[in-house]
Amino acid sequence: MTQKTHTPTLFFMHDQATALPLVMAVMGFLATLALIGGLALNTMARDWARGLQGTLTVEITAEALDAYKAEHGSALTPAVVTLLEAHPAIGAATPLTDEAMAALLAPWFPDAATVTALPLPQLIDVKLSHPDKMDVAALNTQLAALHPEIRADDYQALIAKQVRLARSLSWLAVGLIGLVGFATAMIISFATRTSFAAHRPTVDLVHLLGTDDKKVIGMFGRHFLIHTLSGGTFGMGIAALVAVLLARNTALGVDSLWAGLGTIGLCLVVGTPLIMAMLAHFMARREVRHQLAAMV
Amino acid sequence: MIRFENVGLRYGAGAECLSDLSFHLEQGSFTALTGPSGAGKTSLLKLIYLAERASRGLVTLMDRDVATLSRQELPALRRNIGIVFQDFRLLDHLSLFDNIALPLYLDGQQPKDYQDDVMEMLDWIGLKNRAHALPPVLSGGEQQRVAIARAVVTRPKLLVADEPTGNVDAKMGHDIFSLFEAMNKIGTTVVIATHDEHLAHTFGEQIIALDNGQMRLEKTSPDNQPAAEAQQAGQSTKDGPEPFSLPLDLHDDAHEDGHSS
Ligand SMILES: Nc1ncnc2c1ncn2[C@@H]1O[C@H](COP(=O)(O)OP(=O)(O)OP(=O)(O)O)[C@@H](O)[C@H]1O
Ligand SMILES: [Mg+2]
Repeated sequence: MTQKTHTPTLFFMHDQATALPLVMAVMGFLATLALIGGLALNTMARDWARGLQGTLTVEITAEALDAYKAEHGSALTPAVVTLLEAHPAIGAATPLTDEAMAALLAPWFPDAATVTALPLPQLIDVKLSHPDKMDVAALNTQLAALHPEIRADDYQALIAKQVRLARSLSWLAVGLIGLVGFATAMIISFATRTSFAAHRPTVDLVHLLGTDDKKVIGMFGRHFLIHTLSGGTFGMGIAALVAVLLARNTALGVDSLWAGLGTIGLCLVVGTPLIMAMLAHFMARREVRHQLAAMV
Repeated sequence: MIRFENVGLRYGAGAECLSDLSFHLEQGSFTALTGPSGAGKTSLLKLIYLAERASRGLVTLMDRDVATLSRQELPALRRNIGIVFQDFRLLDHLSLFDNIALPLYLDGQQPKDYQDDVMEMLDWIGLKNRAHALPPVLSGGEQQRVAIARAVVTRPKLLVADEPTGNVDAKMGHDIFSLFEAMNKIGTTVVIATHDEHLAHTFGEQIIALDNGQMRLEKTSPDNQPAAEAQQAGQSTKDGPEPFSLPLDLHDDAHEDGHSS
């Protein structure tokens, strides 16, 4: 007679050996990708928003300058500067001098005299004191009242739009992660119920033999914890690989991906399977506790 | 040990399948439960082994009012009860060894500690050389013996057996009752449901006869017990309180013919 020293396997001999970890791998993949995407977008939005601190450029065409002078007998530029400096979001408005213009155009027109002779537009450098309060479209309406051919460029507005888009997308990612978490919880809940039903005869027996609920709850909880952790880790790995490949083959670059994630982001990514496993553990235990409560 | 006072049991919204049961089974008693099929024998045993709760009345088990016990207190009480289920309830994915060892394992004991006890049980039921077999390949009688071994391996204070001789021949039925009697002699309270009036009267100190949910309690006269039984049981107790070294020969050749595959 051979010595037997193993402990009996009561539950989970055959069921869901691959199905559950596979589903959890998909969930881990989706959650990780959404997390990386969301974090990267968030960092991008922050960087772009920092760019908004910069300047705004107002351009007055040469024709407008001449026409205004002819009509009002005074220069248009100081009037525009006055209007700009009265704006609550603007700190300072500085018209570019002829010398500055000449310096700007030097690569194309080395002779400063030529530049002065050209019918060049007047540019005004605007420093924003409250970039977030700047509404370029409204400013343009105000400027048009002075003369229709004065324009503040809407480059800032474009960036602001991009920032808003990136921020919305990163919130979308947060929502996606929430959905994945919800789906994971539902799947585990359902799988636990199915598994519990499949093992019902065993559960009934060990219950009548005097097994504490805690022990049964623990066995189910552990099973789903391990399967979710293994599946989730696999999914997380694949998602991280996809993100790195994507970053490498696009303008983003791997370095900026890492920078975008940051240490906390990286910890979150690595912790995703762990968080999923803890969620699965909680849900499975909850479900089993609930089912056991119905037994005498 | 077990006290019922005006106990009634109904399943769901159905009619009562047990009504107004009142009796007291003393510690160390040997009670047979008889009655036609559907009389409520299994239902009554379920109340005793805590698989059902009474719909009304008072059930006291080991001096505890069952109705007032909290969920956390029940498992400890259950571990004092050995149960032979009418439908055996062996776990088909576990070997005979593990099936018999299950209550010990669930109690937190280590395999190396219960190894010998379980092998002794297997030897006793004549299935020692099939310790690794799975229950589905056994005959009905063999499965029943495994179920009995699992119920007694913990040496419970209370042994509840539901038709433990339903699938074995007369000789083995007698042997199984002899084992229960020997356990009873060393203090185990025994309650056995059986269709076999002869065994009930031979071994039972008292008989609860159930019919249609009603009960009648009768004491059997000691004269009923055949001398051979008394002698056999006496002999076993003389050897000391060791229920597993009983001179019971469940696996003698005459019986192997009918039950081994
Ligand atoms: N889980 C249940 N739900 C509903 N009714 C039940 C349930 N179990 C038993 N009954 C009913 O209770 C009555 C008594 O059944 P029980 O199993 O106790 O009889 P028994 O005396 O053990 O019969 P047998 O000798 O055939 O095993 C029967 O009428 C049966 O239909
Ligand atoms: Mg029955």
